[in-house]
Amino acid sequence: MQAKEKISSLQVIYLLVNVVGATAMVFLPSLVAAVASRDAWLTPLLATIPGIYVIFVVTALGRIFPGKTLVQYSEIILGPRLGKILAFLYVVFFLHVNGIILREFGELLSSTILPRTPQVALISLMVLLCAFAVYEGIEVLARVMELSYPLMLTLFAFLLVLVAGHMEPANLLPVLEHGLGPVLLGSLDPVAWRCEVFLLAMLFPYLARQDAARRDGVIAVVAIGIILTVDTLASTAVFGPTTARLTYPTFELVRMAGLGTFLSRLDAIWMIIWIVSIFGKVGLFHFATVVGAANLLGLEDYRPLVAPLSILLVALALGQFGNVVEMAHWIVFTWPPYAYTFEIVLPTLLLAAARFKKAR
Amino acid sequence: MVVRRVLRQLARLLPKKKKSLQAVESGVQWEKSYEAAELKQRPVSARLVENVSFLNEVLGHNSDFVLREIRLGVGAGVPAALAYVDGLVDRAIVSDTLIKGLTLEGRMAGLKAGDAGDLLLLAKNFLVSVAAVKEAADYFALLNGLLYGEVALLIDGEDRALLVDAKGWAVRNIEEPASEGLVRGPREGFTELMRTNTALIRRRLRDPNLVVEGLCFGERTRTQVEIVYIRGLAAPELVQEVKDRLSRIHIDGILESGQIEELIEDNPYTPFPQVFHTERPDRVVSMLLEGRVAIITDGTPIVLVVPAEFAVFMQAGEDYYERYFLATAIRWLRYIALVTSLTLPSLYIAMTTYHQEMIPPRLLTSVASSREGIPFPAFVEALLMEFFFEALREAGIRLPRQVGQAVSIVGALVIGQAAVSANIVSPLMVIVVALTGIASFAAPVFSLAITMRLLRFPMMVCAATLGLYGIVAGLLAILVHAAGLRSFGIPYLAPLAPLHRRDLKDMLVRAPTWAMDHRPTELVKGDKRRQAPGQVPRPGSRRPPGGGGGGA
Repeated sequence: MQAKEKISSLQVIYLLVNVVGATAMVFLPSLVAAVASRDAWLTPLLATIPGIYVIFVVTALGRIFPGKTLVQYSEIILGPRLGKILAFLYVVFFLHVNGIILREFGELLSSTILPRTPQVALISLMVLLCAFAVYEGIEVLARVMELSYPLMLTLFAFLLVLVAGHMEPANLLPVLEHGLGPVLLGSLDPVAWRCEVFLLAMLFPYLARQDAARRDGVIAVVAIGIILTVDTLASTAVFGPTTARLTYPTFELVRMAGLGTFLSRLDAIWMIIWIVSIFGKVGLFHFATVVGAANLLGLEDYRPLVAPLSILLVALALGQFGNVVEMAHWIVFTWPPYAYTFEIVLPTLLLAAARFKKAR
Repeated sequence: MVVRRVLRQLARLLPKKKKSLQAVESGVQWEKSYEAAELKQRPVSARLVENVSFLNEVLGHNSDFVLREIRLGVGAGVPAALAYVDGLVDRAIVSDTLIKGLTLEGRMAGLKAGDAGDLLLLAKNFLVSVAAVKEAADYFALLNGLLYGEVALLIDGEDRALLVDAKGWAVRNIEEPASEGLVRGPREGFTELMRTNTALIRRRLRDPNLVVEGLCFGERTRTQVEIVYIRGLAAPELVQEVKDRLSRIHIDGILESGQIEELIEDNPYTPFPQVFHTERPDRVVSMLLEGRVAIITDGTPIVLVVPAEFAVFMQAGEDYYERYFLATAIRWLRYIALVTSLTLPSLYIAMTTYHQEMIPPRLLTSVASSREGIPFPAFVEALLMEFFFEALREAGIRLPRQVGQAVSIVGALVIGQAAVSANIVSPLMVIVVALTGIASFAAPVFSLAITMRLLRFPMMVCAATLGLYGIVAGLLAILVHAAGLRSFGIPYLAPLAPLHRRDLKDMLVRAPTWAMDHRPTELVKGDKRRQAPGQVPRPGSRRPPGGGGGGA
C-alpha cells in the first residue's frame, strides 16, 4: 500500500504533540501530584527521556522498513503467523486505548458543561467527526491540526498568563522534599502517556520526509515535555498539593482566569481548545486503528473499514467502565504496564529481532 | 411445430401493434430541424440558386433574416447574394462598404464573369474593405457566422461563401461594477461583450505572453468562451487541466459563467465556492500575474478565475491599493466578521440554553431580564428571526427599487420594534441577528458570504442540541471538509494548511508592496519572483533598486 497522501514535518510534530497533550493536559497534573506532590512538575521532564528512546526505536525500525507501518513490518520480522497475531494485538490496542480516551472525554464533558446529555450522544458525535476526518485522509487531519494547533497554544498561553495572579511560588517549595523516589514513581504515568508518540510508527508511509522522522519525533517529545511541565507547574503553583484531589486540575485552573470584571469564565475557551485537541487525538488513534486493520487484512484502501471500526469504538468507549472512579483507577494502575508493553517493550523486541535477522 | 408457428405469428403481430401506436403519436407534424452534424455534411453549392433556396429554407421565415441579391461587375454581371441577420450587423457597413464596394466599385473595376477564375478571391482581396473576413465551405460554418453577426457573400459559380465580420449590435457601455464597489482604484468593469472584456485585460497587460484562447460551448447557444493566461506564469498542467475540463462540457446552452463554474469545479458536493468570479479587470490581471487562469464567457460580465482557494475569497481588490496597515486591519476585520456571521446566533443559543454559568454575572442578568416573558426557547427565537431576516434580504434584492423602501421600513418596524414590544423575541436576539447580518455583509466576495449564511443554520441546530460542544463539532466538521477540498489541485486552505510561511504575507496580513517579492508557492512553478527584492523606499539614498526584476 503506497500512500499518495503526504504530511509535512511540521504537521507530524503537531499531530504527535497533540496526541499526548490532549488528555495529559487534563488528567496528568492531579494523577502525578497524588504521588509526587509538590514535585509533580519534574515528572514530565523525566518522561522526556523514555519518550526520546521510543522515537529512536520506532525510527530505527522505520529505517529498516521504509514506507511500512508497524503492523506491516511486524509480519515481516516475526513471520506470517506470529506477526499476524502481534499485528492484531496492536490494532486491538489502538482501538482499546482510543475507547478509553473517548470515555475520558465523555466523562469530563458530562461532568462539566453538558451534565444532562447522555454520554452516548457525546461520544458518538466525536467518533462521527473523527471517522469523517479519517475518511477524508491523514492529510486532512494533519491540516486541521496544523491550522488549529498554533491557535490553541496561543490561547492556552493567554489563559495561563491570566491565571498568573493566582500563582503562589511558595507552593512549589520545598523541592524534592522526599527525595527522588516519589518523582520517579510519579513519572510512571507520564512515561506511558509520552510514549504514545510511538504512533509515529503507523505514520511512516505518509511522511513527506521519512529521513527527518527522528528529528521531528524528538522535537515533538521535547515540546510536549515543555508544555506539560508548564501546565503541571502552573497547577501546582496555584493549588499546591491539593492538586491531587482535583479530578480535572487544568479545568479548575482556567476557571480562575479572568481580567477585571468583564472578562471572566474563560473556561469556555479552554473547553473549545480541548474538544479540538481530543478530536486530533482520537482521530489519529482511529487512523492508526483503521490503517492497521487494513494492513492486517491486506486491503489496498482502508476506507471501507472506517464505519465498522467506528461503531466498535463507540461501543468500546461506553462499555468499558462503570464510572469515572473505575476509569481513574484503571489509568493509574493498569494503564502503565499495559502501555509499556505495547509502546516500549514490544517495539524494542521487534527492533532487536529485526537486527538479529538482518545480522544473520 | 404448431406451437412454433403460432409463436411466429404472434411475433409478427407485435411490431405491427407498435407501428400503429407510433402513427397515433406522431399526429403532430414537426417542422424539420437542422442538426449540426447534418449541416457540417452539407457543402456550399457552386450554384447560387441552390444556396439561396437552402438559406431561405433554413432561415427564410425569420423576419430578421435579410437576403439581398446583387450583381457584380460589368454588363449583366454575375449574380451574387448578401445574407445577414438584421440587428446583429452594422447596417452602415453592409450598405456603405459591402454593397457599394461590390456593385459600384466592382463595376468600375470592370469585373466580369470568369475573371481570373476566382471571383470570390478577387472580391475578398480587392473589393471588400472590411478587416476580418473568412471563407466558409460548409453550411455549418456559414450559418454559424451568419448568426454571430457576420455577413455572408455568395457568388454564383463559387462553392464557398465569404463571411465578412460586420458585428454591430447594441451593447452596454463600460460602467462601474455594481457588485464590487471600491473607494480607490479603477472604476471600469467588464461588460457583456467578450471582445471588450479581453481588451480591458490586454490594455492592462501589454505582455506578448498573454494568451487568449477561444472555445465554443453549447450545442444551441454556441457561446464563445475564452481562456486567458500568461505563458510562463500559469503552470502548463493547470492550463491543460482547465482546457480538459472545459472540453468535457456538452450542454445545449451556456447563459452565464456560473454554469461553467458548476461544470468544472473539483468538488461538486460542497457549499464552498472553488472558482473565483469578478467583474473587475484589474482584479483579473492581478490574478493572472499570480499564475492563475481566467475564463471569459460571452454574454456575461462575470469572469471566472481558477484556481481559487479560500484566501482569495477574503481579499478585495482594493486591499492592494490602500495603505497596507489599513488593508491588514480590514482583512482581520473580515476574518472576525466571517466567524461572527457563522457562529454568533449559535453561540447565543448555546450560551442561553446550556451554559448560563459561562456568561459573566452582570451580562447574565441582562440576558435573563431581556428573555423574560419570551414564549419560545432561544433556538426557535433565533431561527424565527434569522428566517425573517433572510426573507427580508431576499425580498430586498428582487423588488423594484421603489417598493424596496417599503419593505425595509416594514421589516425594520415589524422585526425590530413590534416583535420586541409584543414579547415574541428578546431585544438581545434582535441585536444578535442584526450583528450577524452586518457581519455577513462584510465579506468581500458574495459567494463566500452565501456559504456562511447557509452554514449558519446547521450550526444553530448543533448549538441547540449539544451546546458549545455542538458548535465546536460543527466548526470541526466544516474545517475537516474545507481542508479536504481542492481547487484545480490547490489545497483549499493553503497557505495556512498546508502551511507556506512565505505566502502568509498575503493571508494573515497584507504585506507592503515592496515586501511581496514572490508569487504564491502553490501556483507558480517557474518564474517565482515578482519583483526585485529590497525595494523598501529609503529617502536620502540614491541607490537604484537592486539589479533587474524577475518579472516577465
